[in-house]
Order: sequence, then structure tokens, then C-alpha cells
Amino acid sequence: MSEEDANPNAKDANPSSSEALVGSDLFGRWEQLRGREGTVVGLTAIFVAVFPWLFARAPVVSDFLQGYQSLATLILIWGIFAIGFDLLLGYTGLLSFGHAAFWGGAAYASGIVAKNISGDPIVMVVSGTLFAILLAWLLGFLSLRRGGIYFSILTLAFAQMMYFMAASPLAFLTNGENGLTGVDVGNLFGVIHLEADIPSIGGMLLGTWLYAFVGFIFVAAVAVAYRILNSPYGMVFRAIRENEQRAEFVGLNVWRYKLMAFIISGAFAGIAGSLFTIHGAYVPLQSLFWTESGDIVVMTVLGGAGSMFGPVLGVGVYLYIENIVSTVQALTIPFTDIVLIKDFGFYWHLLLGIVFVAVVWVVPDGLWGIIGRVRTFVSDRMGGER
Amino acid sequence: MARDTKPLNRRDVLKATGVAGLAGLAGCTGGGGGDGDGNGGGDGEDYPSLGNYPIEGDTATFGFNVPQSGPYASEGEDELRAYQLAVKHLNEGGGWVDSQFDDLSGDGVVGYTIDYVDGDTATDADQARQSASGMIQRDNAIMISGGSSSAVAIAVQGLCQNEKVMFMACLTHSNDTTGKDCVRYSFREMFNAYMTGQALAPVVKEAYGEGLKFYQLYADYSWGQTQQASMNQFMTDVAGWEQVESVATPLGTTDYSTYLSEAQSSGADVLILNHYGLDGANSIQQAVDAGINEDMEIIVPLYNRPMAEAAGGAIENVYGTLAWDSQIDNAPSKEFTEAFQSEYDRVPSGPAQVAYAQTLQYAAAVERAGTFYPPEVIKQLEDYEYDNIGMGSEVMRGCDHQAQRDVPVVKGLPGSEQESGKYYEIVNITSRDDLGYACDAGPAAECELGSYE
Repeated sequence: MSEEDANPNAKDANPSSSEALVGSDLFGRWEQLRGREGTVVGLTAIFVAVFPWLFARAPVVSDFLQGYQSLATLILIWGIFAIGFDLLLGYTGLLSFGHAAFWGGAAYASGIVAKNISGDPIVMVVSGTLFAILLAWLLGFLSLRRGGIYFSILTLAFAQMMYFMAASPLAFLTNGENGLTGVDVGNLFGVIHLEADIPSIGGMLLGTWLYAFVGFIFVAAVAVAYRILNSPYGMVFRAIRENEQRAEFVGLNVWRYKLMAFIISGAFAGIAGSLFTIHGAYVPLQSLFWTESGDIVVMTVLGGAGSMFGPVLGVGVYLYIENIVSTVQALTIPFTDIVLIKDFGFYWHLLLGIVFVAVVWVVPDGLWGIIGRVRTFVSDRMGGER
Repeated sequence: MARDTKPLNRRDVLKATGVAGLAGLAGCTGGGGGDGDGNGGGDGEDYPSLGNYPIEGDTATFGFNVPQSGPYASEGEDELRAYQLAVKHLNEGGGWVDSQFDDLSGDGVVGYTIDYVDGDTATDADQARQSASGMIQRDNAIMISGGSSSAVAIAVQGLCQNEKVMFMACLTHSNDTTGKDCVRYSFREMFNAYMTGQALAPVVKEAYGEGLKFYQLYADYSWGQTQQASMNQFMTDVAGWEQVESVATPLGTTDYSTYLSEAQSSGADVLILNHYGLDGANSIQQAVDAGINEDMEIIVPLYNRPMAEAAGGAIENVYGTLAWDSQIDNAPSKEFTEAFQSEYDRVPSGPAQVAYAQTLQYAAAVERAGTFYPPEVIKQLEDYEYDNIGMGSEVMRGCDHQAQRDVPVVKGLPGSEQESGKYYEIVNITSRDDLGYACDAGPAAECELGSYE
């Protein structure tokens, strides 16, 4: 892991920024700044700060979006999960179909710790994440013996084993099908009640302390992921994705790098899973089910595997359709009362399927790919003017 | 509480500017429309804000969280019909509002018009919670009702306890709902696995005799486990039978033939199938196809109509219990069946009756309390005695929020005698005096309800 700490000065790792011209005009400046870690983290922080307000409380916008606070929190939690998953799928080229094991495993671990030892949110996150790391090390060690589809199947099998363990033999610990109830989340630093609103302007923007807590970890996760990906270590991940054999011939211990990618990815899933427990004060058994592993694959691909923020966008779209579009009673033409489709929300699965197929078909690099294309278009235009 | 300031801010301004006016207005409608219990503007000012209380405007929103997709979709559909009917009756009168519930006026509840939102649980605890939290935070629902699976009900009632929003459980049969996972903010009308065992044991003892051996299959999750444990307890203690073996089958099994052939060769006289929903329909159908019903008696502890529909003639002479049935002969049952039929042109199912009853029960408690303030409503429901929903005289016990009520025991009809809405005959309605357990015994011993506020 030591390489991780190496200074990530490989800014030209971003292919589009290398061809962007270094001009004195504003656009050139922006192109220059865009790839910098500070810019990325800063913009993420700004986004995190205004998102719940725009989503749940802003006039007009939130009325249109129909969002609510707890969904904003949930989107960030899944966002952390997706960033970690994308490290593995998008950057290292390994399709794990068993990430529910880390997400759900960490959720259970932190929930059980909260019930039996300490409900301190930080203790919960740390213990859940540690559990996920150890589990990822073990499962990675076993699954990475095989590549391609066999790897996916192995991860799926291990995750399903966990599911059945939690459903029945370990029911005394996990409360089985009913899910882990009675999780008491304590106060942050012993004083801050997470469900409480933040006073004054902070409360208007962020809402609850819980969101602030999750948002802080989200920004940190983005910073860490960005650093890893732009370090030499991350370059090796991409090299493995492009051609495993060549990477091996260069003298890299491919297996070890793959295992580390798997563990890092598991750690992100673990952080997210622990936050999920804190968010709900409950762990559903479904958090270990294979559909959860499927969801994260769909979210990541929908948003754009292999990009930093694509998966987060994918999470947002997916959860939005699942939780908000599904409650729309009738689809009307905006600003009129003309009903296009009755019981529109009922078809949300279908809608999600159509969106997914359309995205994979039209923009294989995901929704984030659209943004990339728009940017290229604009930068060509700007370049042309000069 | 967290909920109050967040979703409101935009409307809060409105409210702050015209708080006096609004309160006065609410008072007028309350006094005029209600039965006087509301006592005018008292509502809203006497109690601190808690959960989604106080309600803004003059419309109170209920959240109906039912399975609209997945294996229990047809049950959920019927529940939703009953909920819609209940809301209609609360606002416009009709059904039990006119005849059975003296507390209700048929002109809203304590001066508020009732509206509702519905959501899809997909029989998935996680999605059900998401759906419920949307109802609570975005739609400001004052009460949530629904469920068709115990895992869902337990997950949602836990959320409701945290959010301080009331939950009126619909179909949930696990001992845990009002046992170790019970909460202050939830009330259950439906009986549980424990009571099913108690109700069935004397009936099957009389039908099949004493000293028999029985073999159990059960769905391998918490409902199945508590169900088989309760059956074992009462078949042994009450009927004097002996268990040969109890075998777990994975949830969602489609092929039961290996399990069934083992049961067949075990030498037992009775086969108890602790399966529900599609699993139940599959296992009983396959048991009959394998000819097990010729040399063994079959018991399905918990029936429901979609299950009976799917199993068809296979349920002939099979004993079980169910929530309620339209054939039950008393005034409330008949009135509900009529009202439901005239609205939807179909016979209501057991879960539909529970859904309808729970909604009106909540509304009546609000009327008695004179406010939507949850702790007051809870106190009105705790240890409340009633005899108006067609299941004899009942009490909603205060120590575990479990209704103490009669349990109908039914026997499946042969395929030739079945028709839509009629799949079984009622053989006994086991009185509540022969059922249940004390507050410090059985599942209730593990129940800690939590706080009012």
C-alpha cells in the first residue's frame, strides 16, 4: 500500500487534459485546473453542500424534483459504494458480482457492534470497514485465482453463502429474515445527535447532521479515490485492465495488484455499508442478497464505468427512479392536467430497464459519457474560435 | 424533531404569517364537522410538535405501503382497495363509519379531510422502508399502514418508531412483530403464529384423533421458524401428538418433491406445511400430486386467498387458519362485504378486512383523543375494547399492542365446490378465551415497547 502515498503528480494521466491547450483565456485556465485534485475535491464539496437544498428544499426546483432529505443522504452513501465498485470494474477491469457481501457484511458488522459494544458512529464505521477489508482480503484471495466469468461467479457464490448464513444459521446474531432491528446509533463525538437538524444556514443547505457526516466521508472518499487513481499504483490498475499479460511481462505482480484493488474496493463498500446502518438504524437481510450486487453493477454501468463521477450519477438516477418516479401516480404533460399515463409509477422497473438499455446502446460510456462529449464539443468550439 | 423543520420551510413562512388565522379556521371546521370531541382550536396548540404532528393545512395524509409488485402483489392490491374504501368512508360516510364506529362522523377526522398516498413495498424490507420514509418525509404522512410480510412490517414499524409516526400493521403473522421486535408506535390486529397453533390444535385433535405422529416442513426464515416451533408446541401439548421431524426448506423453493417423499416415508400420519404465499401454493399442490393426501392428513397453518386460489382443489379437507372471511356470519362482516362488493364488484379477502379495520381503528382513536398527537392516540388504542369489526369482542392489549381476538379455523373445499371468493368452509371460530398468552409469557415476554415521545 505504500505506493498509495506517493505524490500523485501524474496529472497528464487524464487523457483529455493533455490535448487541452494552455491558453491565457478563461477556458484554458479551467481546463488546466479541472484535473487538479484540489479542484475536484472542492467542486465535490460544493456539490455535496448544495445538493440536499436543491433536492429537497429549494423553491421550484425541489417541487419539480420531489426529493426529500433521507434520499439525498442515501444517494451519497450508495455513491461511496459505487466509487469503490468502479475502482474494480471501471479501472481494474474486474467484474465482481458479489459486492453485496462487503456492503451487507459491513452493515451487519457495524449494526452488531452498535448493539453489543458501542453505538458511536465513528466506531461503527471503523468496525464495519475493518470487517469489509478482512472479508475482501479473504474472498479476494479465494476468488482472484480465476479470471473473467469464473471470478464473477465465485464472488457471487461467496456473497450468496453470506446471505444464507445471515438468513438462517446465524439468525441468532442477525435476526434472520426480519433484519437487524434495535440498532441504537449514538451521538457523534458524544454530543451531536445525528438525526437533529443543523442550526441556521448549515441546516438550510445540508439539513441533518447525519447528512453532514455522510457528506464529509463522501468528499474524503472522492479525494482518496482520486489520489489512488492518479498515482502510479492506479496506473498499474489501468494497465491490468488494458492488458494483463503485458503488465505481467513488465514485471508487475499482477495478482497482488488485483487483490489490492479488490480490498480497496471492498473497503469503500464497507464504509458505505456501515453508513447505511447508521442512516437506517436497521439492516435488512436483502443488503446481502445478490440483487444488491446487481444493483451496484447496473448503477455503475448506467453512470459510466471507468469515470470518477459517472457511477455517482448512475446511483442518483437509479435511486431517483426507484424511490420517486415509482410514486408518481399519473404522468401529466408539464403545467397541464392532461394525463399521459395513469399509474405511471407502477412501471418504474420498465422505465429503468428502458433507460439502461438506451444508455448502453447510445452511450456505452454511460451518462457521464454524455457530459464528456459535450465538453469535448465545447472545447473544440473554443479552440476553433482562437 | 428533525422532520418538522425540514420539509416545511417553504410552507412554514405561510404558516408563521397566518398561524392565528389558520388555527382559528381549523377550529371552526373541527367544531362544526366533528362530534365535538375535537373541541375546536385545541388541536395543534396543546401539544409540542412530534413526528409529523402538527398537521399543516386541513388535510391529514395516510401512507398505505403495500406490495404492488412481487409474489404478494395480488394481496397488496386487495389491501389497497380496502384502504381506499376506508378513506372514502371517513370523508363521505358509509360502511362501518355509519354503522359500527360511533366515534366517526363520516365528515373527516377531527375536522381534517383525509387524503392518502400509496407506495410499493415489493415484499422487500429495504424497499418498504425507503417507500415509507418518502411518505413520512416528503408527503408528511401522519400514519402508515400496510405490510404483507412480517419482515416488511417489522422493518417499517422500526422506522415509524424512530420517526414518531404511527404504524397500523396489516397482514403480519410472525410472533416477533408484537414479540421481541415490538414497538410503541405500532398496533397489530392480525393474530400470530402462536395463536394459530393454539386455535388449530383442538380442532385437528377432534378431527383426526389423539396419539398421532406429525412431520413438518417449514420455510427457512424467521416466520417459518416461529411458525413450526408454535405448531410443535401446541400439537404436542394440546393434541397430544408426537413430532417425527421438522425439516427446513429454503425460502422460494419451487420443487418440494424430495422433501415430500421423505415426509411420505417417515411413517407420520400428519404433514404440516408451514409455507406461505406462492411457496404454500406450490408445496400443497405437489403434496397432493404425489398422493400424500391419500395416506396422510395435511395441515396448512396460515391460509390466504391468493394461495387457495393458486392451489385450487388441492386444499380439499386441509385445515388452516385465516385472518377473516366474508362467510363469517355477523353484522360487521356482512356490512363490510357489501360495501366492498358494491364498490369493487368482488368479494373482499381477509387482508382487506384487516386493512379497512386498522384504518378506521386509527381514525376512531384520533377522534377519541381529539388530536393527531401520536402519544395521545396511542393511549387511546392501548387496552381499548371493541366489538365492531366482525371478529367478536376484542381488546388491543397495552403491554404488547397485540389484539386479543378470535381466530377462524377453516377447512378447504373440494375443487368442484369452490367458486370465486369461496375456497373453504369455516369449521370453528376459536374464542379469544382459549387463545393468547399473558403479558409476561410467550412472545410478549420479550417485548419492550419503547418510548411514547
